[in-house]
Amino acid sequence: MLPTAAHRKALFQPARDLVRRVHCPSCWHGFAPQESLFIAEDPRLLGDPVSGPTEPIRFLPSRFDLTGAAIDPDGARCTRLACARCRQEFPRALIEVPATIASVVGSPGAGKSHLLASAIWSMRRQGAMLGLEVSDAEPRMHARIHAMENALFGSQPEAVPQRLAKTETAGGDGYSEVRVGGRTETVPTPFIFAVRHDSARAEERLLVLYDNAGEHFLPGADEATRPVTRHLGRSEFAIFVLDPTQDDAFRSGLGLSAAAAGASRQDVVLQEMASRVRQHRGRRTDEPCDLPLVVALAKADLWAQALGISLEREPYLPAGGVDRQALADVHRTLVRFCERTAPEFLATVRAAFPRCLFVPCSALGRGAGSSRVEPQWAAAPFVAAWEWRQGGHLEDFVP
Amino acid sequence: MRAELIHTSLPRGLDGGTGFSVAGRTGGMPRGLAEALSALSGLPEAWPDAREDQRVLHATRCIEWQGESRWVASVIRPSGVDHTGRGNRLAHHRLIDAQEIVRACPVAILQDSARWMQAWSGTPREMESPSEIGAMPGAVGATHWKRAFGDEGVAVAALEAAMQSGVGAWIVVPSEVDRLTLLAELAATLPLPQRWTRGWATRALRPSAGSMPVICVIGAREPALETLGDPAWVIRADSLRPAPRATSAKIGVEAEIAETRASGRLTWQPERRLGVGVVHAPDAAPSMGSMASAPSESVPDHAVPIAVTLEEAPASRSWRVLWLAAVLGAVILLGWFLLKGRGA
Repeated sequence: MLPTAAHRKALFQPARDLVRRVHCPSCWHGFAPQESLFIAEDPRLLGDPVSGPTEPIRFLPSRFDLTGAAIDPDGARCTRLACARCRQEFPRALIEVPATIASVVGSPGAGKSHLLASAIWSMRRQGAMLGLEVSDAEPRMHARIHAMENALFGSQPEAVPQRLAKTETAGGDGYSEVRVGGRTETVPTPFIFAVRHDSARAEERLLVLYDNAGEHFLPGADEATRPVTRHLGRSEFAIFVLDPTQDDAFRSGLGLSAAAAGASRQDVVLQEMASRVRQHRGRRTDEPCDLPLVVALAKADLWAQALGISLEREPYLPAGGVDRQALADVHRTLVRFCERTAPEFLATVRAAFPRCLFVPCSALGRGAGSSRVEPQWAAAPFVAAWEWRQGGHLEDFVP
Repeated sequence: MRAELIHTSLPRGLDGGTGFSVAGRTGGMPRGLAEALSALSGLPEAWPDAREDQRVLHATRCIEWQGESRWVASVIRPSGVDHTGRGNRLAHHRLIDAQEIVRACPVAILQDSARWMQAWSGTPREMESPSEIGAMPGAVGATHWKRAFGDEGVAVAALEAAMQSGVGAWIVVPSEVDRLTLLAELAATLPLPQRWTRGWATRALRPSAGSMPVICVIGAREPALETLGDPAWVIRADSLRPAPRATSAKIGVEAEIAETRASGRLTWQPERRLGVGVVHAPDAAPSMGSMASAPSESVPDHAVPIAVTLEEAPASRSWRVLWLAAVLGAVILLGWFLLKGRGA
C-alpha cells in the first residue's frame, strides 16, 4: 500500500524565508540572520565573556540537526538566539518576521509604564475590536510586562489603588549589563509582540517596545555606556506621553489647581527627543524628523470632560479597526487646546514632527484611585501609530 | 577615599534633573564616580506581598573606576512614595577604603544600621566625609543557619558550593528568614581578608562580565528565580547536606583528620584570578568546628586558600595513650628479657 500524504514526511524541513537583516532589539546593531549566535543549552557551558559569567555561552554554530537547531560544543540541541554584538537573547521570530521598533517617550512621572501596561492589556483583550491580534513573541522573555499587567489588572484586595512602582534607571529586570569591547554597557530589555491583522491578509509583524525611565530622556542622559534610548534611531514611530497635569499652563487651561513642584518641562524633553532622533539617524539639525509622532495626552480621565471629549466610546469601528473620524475630531480639539495653553509645546512639535497626531488616553481610566482599573483609550495611541506607520491604513495628520 | 552618595527620587536632584537623582554626596566626589555609584542604585522587584524589610537590598560590590577597583557597600530600601505619588526607594552607597577593608567584615558593615540612612529629608546637598569604620570582626557561629536548617554545617556546604562556582552564586533560603544575618554568618566562615574576595548581597544580583563574583542569599520567592531554570550557581540551601568536613569537624572522625593532615588545607579554585592584591595569612575562623590558619606564602595566587585543621576527637586521644602504653610496656618487657639473658 502506498503511503498517504500524512505518512509521507520529508527528510529535511522546507527552507524558511528569513528577513534580510536583523536589528538587535537591545543594542540595535544590524546583522545578517546567519550571523546570529546560538545560546548553549548544556549546563556546563556557562560564562559568556560579553553577556556575563552566569549566562550560557553564545556561539556561532557549525553543526546543526535536521530541524535546523544548532548543536553546541557539548552536543546539546540549541534553539535560542542572541545578538552578534551584545549577545542578548532575542526571539527566533525576529529573524523570520519583519519587526517594527517603536519608542515610548515622556518625562519622569508622565505615566509611560502605566500606559504601556494598560495598552498591552487592552490590545490583548480587545483584539477583535481593534482589528489586530497581539500576543507575546516569546512569553518567557516577558516576565516584567506580565508582572506589570498583573499588578494593574490581577485580582487585588478591594480599596487598594493599584500603581506601578517608579521605573528604575538601572539594575532590576529592565536592563542588562554587557561587556562590549572592554567597556561595560547597559542595554534595555525590550518587549516584543507578534501583531497580526485579523483581516484576510493575516500578515504578521513584530512590535518592539521599551519601558524606559523618564530620566533617560532628560537632556544630557544619552551616554555611550548607557545607550538605553538609542531605539530612537531605529524606531518607525514614536509615542510621546504628555502629562497635562504636570504643566501649570495646561492645568490652568483645564481649571485644575497648580501642579506640585518638581515637574520637568515637557517641551524640553520633546526637543531632546527630536535632537536624539536626528543625531542617531544622521540627519541635519534643521531637518524634520521623518517618523510619525503620536502625542498621547495622559490621565485624560481628569481633564477630558473639561474639553468636551468623551472617553466612553473607544475610537474603533464596529467592524473592527480605527475610527479615523473620531481620532481626527479629538486631534483638532487637542491641537486647539495646546495652541491656547501650551504654544511652546506645539511649536516644538511643529518644528520637528511634520506628521503628528494628538490622542487622549487614560491608563487607569474610571478606576483611577480605586482597586479596579478600567483603561479608557489606552490602546488608541498604539493602534493609531501602528496603522499610521509606513504601509499602515491611516492618512497623515498634521499638528 | 571615604565617601558616600544618596540616590533617590526627588523633585530636583543635586545635579539637576527630576526623578531618580543624586540627593546627597560627599563634597568633592568626582562626577564620574558619582555616576558609577548611581548606576548601582536599582532595587530589584520583590514578590508581590513582600514586607518592606524583605525588599531591602544589602550589598557589597566591587566597581571599576578609572582603572582601579573600589569596594562599595550599599543599602537600598523602599522609601514610601515620591513627589509624583509612586513608590520610591532610597539608595545609600558608601565607598570603603583600603584601611577599612583590613579591619572590617563587609557584611558587618552592612549590619551596622546606625551607618545607613533610613529616609532622606531636606534639600539635595553635599555632605561631610563619613566617619571611619573601625574594627568589625563580624558574626560568630552559625546559630541562624542551625535554626533555619537544623544544622550549622549547611552554611559551610552552601559557602563551599558558592565558592566553587567561580561566578558567584544565589543561595536560596526560605523567604521569611533574616537573610542579612544568614549572610553575616556565611561570611564569618571565611577568614577576614577572604571575605573581600567576593561581593555579598541579600537580593538577587546578576554579575556582569568582568565583575567580581557576588554571593547572594536570596528568598525562595524572589521573582528573578522564576524564569531562570536551575543553573549550577543557584544553590537551594534546604537541599544541601551539611558539608562532610563541617560535620566531621563536629563529631571527630579519624579518617577526616588524617586527610586534612595530609592535604594541609582545602583550596577553592575559582575559574579566574580574583582581583585582589595580597592574600594575607588567614585569621582563625571563629566558627564551624575549629579552623586554623595556614601559611600564605605557598598559596598559588589564583586560589583562595581555606585552611582547615580539625580538632582531634577525645576518642582518638585515648587510643594514642593506649598505644603509647603498649609500646612502653613492650620496651620494658624486652629490656627485662635482655637483662635476664645476660645475667644467665
